[in-house]
Amino acid sequence: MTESKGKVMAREAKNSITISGLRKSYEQPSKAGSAYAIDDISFEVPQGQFVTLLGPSGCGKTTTLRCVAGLEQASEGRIEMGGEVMFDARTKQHVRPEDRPIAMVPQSYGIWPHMRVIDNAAFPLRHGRNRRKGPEVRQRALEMLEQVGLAAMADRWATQLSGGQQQRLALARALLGDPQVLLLDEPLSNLDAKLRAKLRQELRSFQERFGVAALYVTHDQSEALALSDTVIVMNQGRIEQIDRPERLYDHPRSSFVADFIGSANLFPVRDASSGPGGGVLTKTDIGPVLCARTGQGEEVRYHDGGFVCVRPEDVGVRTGGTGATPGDNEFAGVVESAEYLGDRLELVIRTGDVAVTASTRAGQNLRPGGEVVIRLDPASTSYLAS
Amino acid sequence: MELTSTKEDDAPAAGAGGRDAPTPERRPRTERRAAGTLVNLAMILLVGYLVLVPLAILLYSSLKASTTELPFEVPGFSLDNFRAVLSSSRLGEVTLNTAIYVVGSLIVALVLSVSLAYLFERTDIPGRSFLAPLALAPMAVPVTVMAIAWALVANPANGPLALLVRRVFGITVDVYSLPGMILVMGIFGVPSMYLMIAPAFARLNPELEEAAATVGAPLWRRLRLIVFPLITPAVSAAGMLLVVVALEGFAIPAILGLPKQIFVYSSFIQYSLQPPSGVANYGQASTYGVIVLALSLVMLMVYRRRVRDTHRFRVVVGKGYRPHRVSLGRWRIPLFLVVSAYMFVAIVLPIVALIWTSLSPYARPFSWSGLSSMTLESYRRVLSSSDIGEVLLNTGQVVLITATVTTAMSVWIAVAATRNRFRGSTMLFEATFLVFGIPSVVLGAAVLFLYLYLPVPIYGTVWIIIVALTTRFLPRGSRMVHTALLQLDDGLVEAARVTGASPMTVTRTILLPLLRPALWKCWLWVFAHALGELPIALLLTGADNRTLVVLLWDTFTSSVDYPEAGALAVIILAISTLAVWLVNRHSAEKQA
Repeated sequence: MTESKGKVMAREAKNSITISGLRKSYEQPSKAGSAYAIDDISFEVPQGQFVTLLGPSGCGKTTTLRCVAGLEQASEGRIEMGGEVMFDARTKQHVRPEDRPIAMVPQSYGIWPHMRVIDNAAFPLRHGRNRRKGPEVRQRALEMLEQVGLAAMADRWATQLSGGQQQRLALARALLGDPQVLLLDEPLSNLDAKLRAKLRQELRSFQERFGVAALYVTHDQSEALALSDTVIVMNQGRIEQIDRPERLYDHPRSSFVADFIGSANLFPVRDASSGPGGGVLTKTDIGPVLCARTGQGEEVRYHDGGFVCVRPEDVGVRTGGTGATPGDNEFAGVVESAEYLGDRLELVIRTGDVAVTASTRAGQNLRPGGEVVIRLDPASTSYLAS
Repeated sequence: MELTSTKEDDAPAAGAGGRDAPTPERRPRTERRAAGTLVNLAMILLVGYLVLVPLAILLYSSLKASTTELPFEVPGFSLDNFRAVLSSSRLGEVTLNTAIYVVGSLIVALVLSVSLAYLFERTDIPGRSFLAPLALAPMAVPVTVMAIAWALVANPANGPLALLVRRVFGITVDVYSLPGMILVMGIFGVPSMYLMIAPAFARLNPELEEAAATVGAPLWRRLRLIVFPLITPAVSAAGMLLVVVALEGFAIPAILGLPKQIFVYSSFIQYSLQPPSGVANYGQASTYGVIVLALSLVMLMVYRRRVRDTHRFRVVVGKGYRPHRVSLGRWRIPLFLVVSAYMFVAIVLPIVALIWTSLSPYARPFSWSGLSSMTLESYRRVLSSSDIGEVLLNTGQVVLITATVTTAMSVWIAVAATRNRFRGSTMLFEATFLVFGIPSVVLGAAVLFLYLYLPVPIYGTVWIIIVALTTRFLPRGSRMVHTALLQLDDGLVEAARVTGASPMTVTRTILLPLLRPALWKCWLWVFAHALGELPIALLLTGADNRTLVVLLWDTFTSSVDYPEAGALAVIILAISTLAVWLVNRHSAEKQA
């Protein structure tokens, strides 16, 4: 028992993909200087794990994925898969995409319109890396189609499938290629919202069932949080943070991550110093704020700049007025707008010159123009150095 | 309000507001509608007359047992002509030549245009930005000029290309042969095929190929199994169209084939009507005409089916994919050199030879020493000949009137078809498609028969040429306008309609101004093609209506004065290039 567990551990320790120092300049440099599409990207995809590259469009996530697939070549860095070098800029090694142990589900699925469903699925078996012949090809393809619920449509033209079905077919085709790594480039972005939620669960369960590592690209943070073991947030060609989904939300390391994942109040910091209880005391436009959390998770370098970050649901609101004097980490303000959203009340509160977003339980009698006191709990308030 | 029925007055007030249209307007509107219907009717009759009557006359003549007499001077009907044609050994010979010629040029054009389209659209071959337009450049060259240029550059006696090949490879090249005709037709067909195939390559989502690459299919399998099948509809449609064009093409087989008596259908029809002996064989000509017409129409129907089938190949397109080009690696430079060499030999060299000959005192190969004896003598001779004034006047009348009338009729047909103005308006538009299937020579012959028969005194004037050319260019013209109309947002016109403007006013104030670039383009296109269209002008020519292109033909084939023919060809080429350049500049501006 322990032995087998140890084996599993050993296997898990091995990475499916290891990327180090990947860098790629734009094809046509718009400005002189260091304009990189991706800049010094390093990360690992452990075996069997689901890793997501998340970022706004143009952040380099797709370029990174295409470099992993071998469809594009980076100018610097190194890519390994299952311990073998796939790309190394220094030794000018480049394994062609057809020789890498991968499969890809492209953004628009890449379903071949001139073939039937079964021929699309069986393509990797007939023409892929490990070609084979005979009746078992069709048999295996049919079994896979069965798994994705398309067996009944095996003999239809691929273009007769709906968007969701084409997506499943693309997945079936990719898995039939017997890949070590599954690469997915925004595979859900062409579907409507309901289908997207359903298919993303399916996607995850398939990935787990086949035990294949997945590298997934998306700009949709909810998709990334729902699917991934690890999320890599990218911005302007660089990695901002690599973390588990829940840590990304609770402990963003930078204002970009805080803003991109969910919504956040970000107050620019003018001065930061050591506060009581190991926290950070900051001076902001709304006044002094004590933060118990620090973004880096390491030693804080006190300097000017940075941000205080509070999630709207962590902003406490109580009715203010003449009697109420704000205490520590409390600030007086006026409700500017109140939106009733059924389960909660979304407030914009002006304190000084700063607008603070807060979301509170519905039912409180808060109207625009009303005076309130907001409280920022130090335990849920972070200081971000950048 | 008084005129509306009581029943409507009793109806609940809901929705009644929209109903009380001002009644005084009603009468003029119906009158205008009646006038519109009359115009439409007249146009239907006109189009029917232009397209269908000549074909009926052609069929009628083929059923008359006449050889040297005019068909309608012979009483009764018979199948004698078909019997005679089918039993003559000529049919087999001409059919075989035509088949070899058409299939050969198809293969040449297919190989060239698919390779060029793939290289320019999907790979990182250097110099794409100037090579791709150069590949289209032959479109500006009228086919008659092209054929003469090739005769000058590759004739065995003093053609520079022929001499070069003989010196380097030791092979004697003779452009006056079936392979010569095939090569020239193939090269001539490249631009139009390229225009149909290149967008198919450009539209092809790279993800389709990448998906195959990532599951491990090597390059050749990807090309064979994914890329080629997906562009097959475009390629076969383009191929089908080339077959129709090659089948009807007259200038190339006439200029390169007649000296050695190599006949294909089109040149044989002209030969039957205008033989050197001077005695026309009308029965034979009309019978061959019917045969070519049937073949051509069948091809065209197949083409239509093909184009319709392409819908099955519609591809899901992602949200803006980036076109990634295939890297050619170490083949980049060699392929660039091959393509450049092709462009030079196929496109630049013939035109250079044409200009060289026009500036030489007599036909001679390129040489440095020849540069010193360059002369404008042949241009002077062309422009000072006694009948040049009349020829230029005729040509001007023919091209200007044809372009204007064709554009005007095209607008009417296209507007009627897109706005569904009256019952059968789409059918009328489709009917003009028939003309695509009528070979130029056949149309010329049919119009010739028609006006020899009808008591309309236009035979021998420029008008007979204008009638035939208008018929010929109507389908292309109406399709150009139609495409532009389809791209217009319906809302633009509807917004004008709901203000209460009549259809006529909407057409005049909204539609035509918006269509102006397309109309201009259509006009210039017809202008350039009317200028270079040889067979119709040649068959319908008389003493008083000779045009430039007929003069070029006579100078080249009868007087065999190559420098003078060269000068004429250069003049036609210059005018036509200017027109095509204007067309392109216009469409480029529109895109910008």
